[in-house]
Amino acid sequence: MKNNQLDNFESLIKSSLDKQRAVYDSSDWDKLNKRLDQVNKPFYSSPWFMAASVAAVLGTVYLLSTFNTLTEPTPLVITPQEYEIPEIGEKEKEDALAIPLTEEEHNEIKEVFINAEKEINNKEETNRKEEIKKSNSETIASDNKEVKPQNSEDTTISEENGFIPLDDAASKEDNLIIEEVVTLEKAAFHMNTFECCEGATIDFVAEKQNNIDYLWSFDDGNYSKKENPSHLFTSPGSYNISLIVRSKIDNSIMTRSNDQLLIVHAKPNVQFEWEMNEENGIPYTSLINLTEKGTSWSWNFGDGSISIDKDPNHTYRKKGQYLVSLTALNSEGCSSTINQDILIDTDYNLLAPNSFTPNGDGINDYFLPAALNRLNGSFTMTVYSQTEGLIYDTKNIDQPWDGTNQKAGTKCTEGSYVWVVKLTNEKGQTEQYKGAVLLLK
Amino acid sequence: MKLEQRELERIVDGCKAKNRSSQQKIYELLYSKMLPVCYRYARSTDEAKDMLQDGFIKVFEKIEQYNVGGSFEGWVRRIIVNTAIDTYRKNKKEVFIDDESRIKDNNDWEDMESESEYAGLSINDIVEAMQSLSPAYQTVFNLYVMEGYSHQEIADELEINIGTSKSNLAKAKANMKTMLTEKLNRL
Repeated sequence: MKNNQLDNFESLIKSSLDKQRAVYDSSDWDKLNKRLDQVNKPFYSSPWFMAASVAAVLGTVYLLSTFNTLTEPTPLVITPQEYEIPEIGEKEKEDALAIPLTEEEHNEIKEVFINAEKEINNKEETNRKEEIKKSNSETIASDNKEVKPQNSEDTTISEENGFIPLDDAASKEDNLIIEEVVTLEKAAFHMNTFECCEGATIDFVAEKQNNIDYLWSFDDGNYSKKENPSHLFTSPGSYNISLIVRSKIDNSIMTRSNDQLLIVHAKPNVQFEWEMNEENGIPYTSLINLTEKGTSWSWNFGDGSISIDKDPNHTYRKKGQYLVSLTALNSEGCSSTINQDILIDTDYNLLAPNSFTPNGDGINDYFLPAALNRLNGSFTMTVYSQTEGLIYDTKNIDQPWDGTNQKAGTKCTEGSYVWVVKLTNEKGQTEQYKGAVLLLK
Repeated sequence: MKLEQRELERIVDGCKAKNRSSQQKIYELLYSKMLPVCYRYARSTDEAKDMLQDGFIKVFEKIEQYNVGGSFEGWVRRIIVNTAIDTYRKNKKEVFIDDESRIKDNNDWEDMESESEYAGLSINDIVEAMQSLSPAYQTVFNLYVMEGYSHQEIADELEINIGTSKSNLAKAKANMKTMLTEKLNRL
């Protein structure tokens, strides 16, 4: 694709539009993020699942299954009476998904987690003792497993998790545990990312099983009973997400948490101040960036112009209120935006006078915007009449408009004329100004 | 927002692995430049944002096809523009105006163009004018002026005659000039 030969008009439009930049709006990412979730369904393509399914294959070999990125589910037995969750119908359950947990429910789940933790600790203790006890029979036990065809990684996991193989000399109580665990297949879940910015909502998906309750802990003091909850992480930090699944039949539970913590990065604390300044009578607004730990910037001055400087200066042409926005991006890729209204109390149009009187009396005989005398840069001023078009042009402050029609060599009549100044500012950008001036005699 | 090439490659690799935070980084980096591209093809901000979303979904789907070395931004932009063309094709209800009759140019301004270049118009004025062109004019103008497509390429993309592409460009320009002149007179 080669570039076309563009005419003046086309080049003008192209060069203006090429400069256009949009201010980042993080809510647009949130929408895209949601859509990407839908696109990725089934979620088996997520990195987590890839790792897990690789692990599942490896998991058939007893020893290699330690590569699994997740901590193994720990089957547990909880006495049924203690943690009765009120039964809810199918329809009510859906409604329940939409409403936040009551304080009672919250405490209940919390209690389940605390007890689960205790049980896990006890279990580990017991396992350690048993390991010593059964160290002789271990080799045989694991050999058996390698030969046995495995239906799911979870079966493997529960066996390797220290649960005593049936052929072991196990106590009656341990046998009971194994039987109850069978009613629960697995405690496994997926999440859409392991890294996000504060204020992000992360979606969690539990692997579906029949007749179970899901209890999630997000490690920030919040819990959920949904099967597939979404949770908003409001503070930066590392979070250990865990899921408990509990059988509705016998209340036995399994728990799983991720080895890989969810990292929630801080957003830049974006802030700015502004002050009005003046140099040689030319007003400008200084924008003072007070953001900490930002790495890149995007300013929108609210009048159609933008900047990516850290502390830009900007001259507004018209007085009025402008909504200025600053978006900062930090090295973690998190961004935030702040908007502030700023009030400009004077018009600025190169300090050009409204009228002049080219009558040779030595007062106001010439027209030239006053700022051009002070800016000291190159410029072009052109003057147009409504009937004759271009009548005067100058690039020299010593040749201000004297009220004549350069082309015709005649004196202009009284009336309104349009002037246009094009200049190059100190940043090397082209600026254009336009105004009307009244010629009086 | 300049990134080191190495850093970019790392993020692109993340995207290839469908890593969500890498995808987010790419989105944040290119948003400020790509949304304006969509503005030019859209009728409204909402439509532009939808277009941008569709475009990025495609970018993430096709990222395997991106070869390190070529301009990543250019690659993404082509996908975004193709998305815009698809959107146009999908919505196409109007027939391209297929007559070659001369467009009477707005001669009053012709002289001033080179001199003053529509002084005082903001980018927003131009974008607004562009968004109020008919979709056919808007698309042809964009592909020719902004993306550098030849009339042959435009004709192929939009399944129209070369002559139609040329006359649509001329009419798009004439309409833009009229609209911009009106805006200027109100200044």
